[in-house]
Amino acid sequence: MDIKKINKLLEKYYEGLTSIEEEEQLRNFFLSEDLPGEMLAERDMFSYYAAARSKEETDDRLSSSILSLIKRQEDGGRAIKPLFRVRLLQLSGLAAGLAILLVSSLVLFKRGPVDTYEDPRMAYIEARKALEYVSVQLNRGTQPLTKSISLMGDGFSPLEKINEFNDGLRLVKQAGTMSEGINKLEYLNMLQDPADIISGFTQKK
Amino acid sequence: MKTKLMLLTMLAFMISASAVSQKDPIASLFDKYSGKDGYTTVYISSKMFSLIAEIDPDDQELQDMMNGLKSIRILSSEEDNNTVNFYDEIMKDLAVDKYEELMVVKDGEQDMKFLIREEKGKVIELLLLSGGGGDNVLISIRGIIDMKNIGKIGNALDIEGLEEIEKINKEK
Repeated sequence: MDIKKINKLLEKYYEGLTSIEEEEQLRNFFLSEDLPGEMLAERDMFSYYAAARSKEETDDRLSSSILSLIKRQEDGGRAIKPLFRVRLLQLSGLAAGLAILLVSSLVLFKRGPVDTYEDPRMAYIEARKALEYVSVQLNRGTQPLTKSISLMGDGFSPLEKINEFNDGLRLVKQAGTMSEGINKLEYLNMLQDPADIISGFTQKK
Repeated sequence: MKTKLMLLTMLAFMISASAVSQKDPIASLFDKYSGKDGYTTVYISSKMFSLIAEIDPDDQELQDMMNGLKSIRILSSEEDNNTVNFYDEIMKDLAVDKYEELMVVKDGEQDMKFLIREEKGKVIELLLLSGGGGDNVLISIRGIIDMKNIGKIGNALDIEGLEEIEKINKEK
């Protein structure tokens, strides 16, 4: 960029007629290094402006980031908060309901039956009475059964005569062994035979 | 969201309702009649049985008998209460499906029913219901019950009746 053009721009700048682009050109020019000696004063000024500007920019960035953060948080808060609150309310209602149910059921179960007697002796008498009653009634129910069983026994008694028959058979068996003995006696007959033989001999002689 | 919560609460109600309805039928039956005019209820708990057992710690038979028992409930109705048939009244309310009939005796007007409830092959409840004429009574005996045990009860209480049952049991 030549010096003449810069001077023209500077004149315009001081009169306040420069456009933003032209100001930018100037600023860039003065930020670059090799400047003619006469323009050092301007350079200082422009560099100051540039520094201030960049500072401003960081301020802007910081504040805008803070603002956006706040906005985000606000937005987020607004989006979550009511929902969370409703859920909390409903949940607490549910929890309360469950608690009521639990307590009432516990009370119901605890109430249960209460011992009629406090004195174990009295309870024993009553228990005895109940057990007696049950056993007597149970027996009454089973009596016909036992009766019929005993009747069945009566029915079996004629069959006992079979035993007598057995006795008879045993006697007959014994008779069998007797006949065996008799058979053995028949051997005695053989003794008669030798006598015959002997007599035969004597006759022949 | 709301409908889900509604469903959840309804489910909770249903669970609790079913828990209440699962209360055993005999207990609710006794609850129904306890305190009613003309009805007498007796309840003896397992705690009481252990106290009874302490009366005579040397009596082994008493110990065995009482330790086996869990509860005895008796519900009886006064005899002159002829407006309702006790037997029918109770049978109407009794959830019989959990019980098995052991014996039914009909003696004139009198109806008698023995019911047992078994669990894992063991009799855990003996129920005697009698009504119609003479005795109007419902007795529930809970605990570990077998016929031998009842025979023991009969012996311990000097009752002739149950000897026969014991005999039958021995023959088995």
